[in-house]
Amino acid sequence: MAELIIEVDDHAQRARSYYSVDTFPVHIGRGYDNDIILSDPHVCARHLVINAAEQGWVAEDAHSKNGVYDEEKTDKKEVIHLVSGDSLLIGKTHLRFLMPDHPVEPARLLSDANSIVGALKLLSVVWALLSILVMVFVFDQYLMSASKVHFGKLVADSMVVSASAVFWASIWSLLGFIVRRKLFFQYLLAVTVVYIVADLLVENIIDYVAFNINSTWISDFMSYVMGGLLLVAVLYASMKKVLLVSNKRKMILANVFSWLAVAAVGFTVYANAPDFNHNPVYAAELKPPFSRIVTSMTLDDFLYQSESIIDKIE
Amino acid sequence: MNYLKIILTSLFFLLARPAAVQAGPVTAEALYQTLQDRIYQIQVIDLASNKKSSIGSGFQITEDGLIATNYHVVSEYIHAPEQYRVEYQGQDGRSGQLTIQGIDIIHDLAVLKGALNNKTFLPLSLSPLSKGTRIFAIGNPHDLGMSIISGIFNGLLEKSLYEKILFSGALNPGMSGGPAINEQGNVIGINVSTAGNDLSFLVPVKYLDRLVRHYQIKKETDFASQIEQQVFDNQKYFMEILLSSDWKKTRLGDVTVVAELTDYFKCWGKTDDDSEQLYEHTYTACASPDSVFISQDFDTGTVDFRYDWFDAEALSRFQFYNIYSDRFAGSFSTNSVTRDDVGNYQCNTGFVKLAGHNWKIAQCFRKYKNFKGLFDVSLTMASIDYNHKGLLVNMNMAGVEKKLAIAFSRKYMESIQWQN
Repeated sequence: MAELIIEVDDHAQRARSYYSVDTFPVHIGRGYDNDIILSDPHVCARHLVINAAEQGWVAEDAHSKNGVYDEEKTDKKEVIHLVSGDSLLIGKTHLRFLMPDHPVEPARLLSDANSIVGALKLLSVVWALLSILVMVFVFDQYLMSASKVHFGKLVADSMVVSASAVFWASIWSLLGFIVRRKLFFQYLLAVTVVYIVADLLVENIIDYVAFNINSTWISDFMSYVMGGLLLVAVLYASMKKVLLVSNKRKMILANVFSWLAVAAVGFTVYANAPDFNHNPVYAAELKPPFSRIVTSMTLDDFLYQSESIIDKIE
Repeated sequence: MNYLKIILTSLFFLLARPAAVQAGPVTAEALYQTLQDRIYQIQVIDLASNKKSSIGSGFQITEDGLIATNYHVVSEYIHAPEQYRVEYQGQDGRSGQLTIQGIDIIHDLAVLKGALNNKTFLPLSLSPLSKGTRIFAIGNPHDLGMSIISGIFNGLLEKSLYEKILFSGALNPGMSGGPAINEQGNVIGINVSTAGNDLSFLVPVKYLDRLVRHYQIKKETDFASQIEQQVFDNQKYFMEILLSSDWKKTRLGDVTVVAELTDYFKCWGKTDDDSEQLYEHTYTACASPDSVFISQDFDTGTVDFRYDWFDAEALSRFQFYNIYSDRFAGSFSTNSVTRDDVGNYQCNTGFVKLAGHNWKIAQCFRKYKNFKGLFDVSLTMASIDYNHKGLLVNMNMAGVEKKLAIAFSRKYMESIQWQN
């Protein structure tokens, strides 16, 4: 009887094949002297060696160029202990290790009610996430309005934001499907919704700080930094599921993209700012009385500051 | 024979001076016939294209070829003499170049000189006129040809820092700098501006008389520093009047504010009547009526301010402060300037306690590049003690020196007081 079944999921070929193995060690690689010969060009001639262990098996990296990844953690590992059902990634090929008695899902009916239930479940999660987004957005808009509110109009406006969130999540989902043959749509939509809500929240908090500090450049700087940090977070969270690179590399990618984007926005604003402005620019944020934590100065002190500004520009 | 002719002509003019035209009902036709040789079109000509860049009118005021016109007619030439020249164009086809002899930027006057080939001139009349007197204005409107119009002398403007004659007659562009004359053919004012619909303004002739006498004593050549001096002296004069006067107060919402600082100030007010809007908004705006024209796109010497009162019981404090904040951000400067005239505003922003109430105040200054020691000042204030009501203040001063700007700001801010 076979000791181990190895499922080979060749990413490039989009095909799965199964090998029954009963003697150890099992050598896996691109070389023709292996027990299992792979065609993936990212796999080394001798990439991986599997040995039997007391419980399950032990996979050992045979000093390969691209390493061996635990699929869930997507971290490079030298030695990995495997039990039935575990997966590894070498090059772009997924390997799954199974005991011969590993249970399989019952056969699906040709017309399956479960797939409808699954679709409904997905739909309800998406619906719930978008509802949260719409509620937060409508509330934010309501706080900004000072005329009679047409609720339908507010909801309609928030639809644009919802559509953008779905679009953004879909793009990542598509990427996930290409890279990992999984959509992760619920997860990606949740990440997007959390990002948009957090961004609204952070912008509001910055406004309250801006009201107190009376400096346009500090509040602008805070907007850029917080905007950049949020972008890093959302990119990292999306890449975490979708991309097949190490966490460290994902963090680097997220940072590079985010700060490049922030720098691009900052540079565009700077480059397009007119060098002569007919009107004064000052810290103009006003917030309700409870939010003021800075005490007022006397008129004498204020005018003294004004005089020193005149002296400076003169 | 020739001598006789000269003597006779001189005699005629000696007689003509007090009364150029015989007694009896004077017609515009007779006046124009007699005086047309003393009136000129003034042209500022662009050297590069050799075409007229601006036109106005002028008139001869001395035998030796002195012409009076408005400063604004020739201001382009004064600011860029290397780009333009000034010429006169007589009715009989005479023309030639003119040079600037003196300017009064505050009253918008300039005295020019050229070889005019003409000895006749318009005498100035300093004697007062009574309201309702028929007077005439001469000039070349829109370059269509020299015209004479008749109108009524309606006294001096009551709300004006600088005296101006209200002339009920239709002045048009191109007539600027032309003379306004009484029935005797003597100059009583200089055409300067119009508010449309037979509402026109003249500079009283006494300022021209003063300028001519000043010119005869002291010949000026450095007009840039003369303009600088006149603008500087004027702001001093103007601001000292404002600082020493008793400011009229008015109530807006729950706050007492100042309105007419002097009789010269004019104020307006309005309340929003939008039924969709969930708050009440009323504003009062006041301005000094006179500005000093420096060039086509640069004027100064104004003070104006505006108050916006908001009462928003129907809104939550967050909603109210959102619109309040937007309004606070929208203050703008009111005088026209270009980047060549002033720098960018630099602001002092902070929380200030005034008479027991807290305000957020932004006071911004920009310096004049060609007028040492002068600044535009923009003051924006928002009361921040109440959840559902507030007053926004926006005050602009154009072209004031530091000391007076600070003194005025202090008096102004101290005069705004909550009444509860």
